[in-house]
Amino acid sequence: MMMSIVHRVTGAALYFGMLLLAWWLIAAASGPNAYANVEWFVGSLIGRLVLFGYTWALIHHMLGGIRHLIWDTLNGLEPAEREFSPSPRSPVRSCSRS
Amino acid sequence: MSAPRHIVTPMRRGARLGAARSGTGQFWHQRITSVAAVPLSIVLIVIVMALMGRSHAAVGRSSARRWVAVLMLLFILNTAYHMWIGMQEIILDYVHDELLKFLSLLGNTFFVFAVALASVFAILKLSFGV
Repeated sequence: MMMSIVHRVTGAALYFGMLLLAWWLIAAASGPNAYANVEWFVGSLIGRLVLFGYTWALIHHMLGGIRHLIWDTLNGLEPAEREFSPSPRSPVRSCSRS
Repeated sequence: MSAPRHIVTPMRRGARLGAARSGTGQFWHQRITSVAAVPLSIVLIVIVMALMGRSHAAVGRSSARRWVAVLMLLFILNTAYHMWIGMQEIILDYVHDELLKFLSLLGNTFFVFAVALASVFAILKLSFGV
């Protein structure tokens, strides 16, 4: 459940983070003066943190998305398969696979 | 006695009652853009890592290369559509006030188009020489 909401939260963060990518591209296309602002931001602490967070969110969202795609093939839906740590086998099997 | 059943008349359609009868397309398009996003995102990360910290002139030279420009364009367009559908899902899940929902969905579309087209413009401008 945690991974599901984090998948959504990283998605929303990436959505707004696209503004950063657009800023980088537009500044590069505008000229050295505009690009100097980007260079400053990238070099600053807050800029590095933002870049790190954006990359983390991207990878996290991507891996969560691959998980969804695997589920789309109806594989790995059992409770034990969903969790990373082994869980006690339930006597009642889930009826999700029909 | 079963629940009253309704014929979907044009009036009911106009009042937005009844099932939407669409959405399968978006489900599928979201899967397509997800699959495409995996290699495209990796390519983008590689490009950004290679260009970050280098001079403006170096960025211009690298972005002018055909494959860099095309891959970045593909990434922008693919991601824009993917995030448009994704944000729409988020809005529809959480926003239920009719006016706010309407404005949010509008804003979603405007934001995605603005960011995507601005990025496409920049990539093309870089590619054709600043």
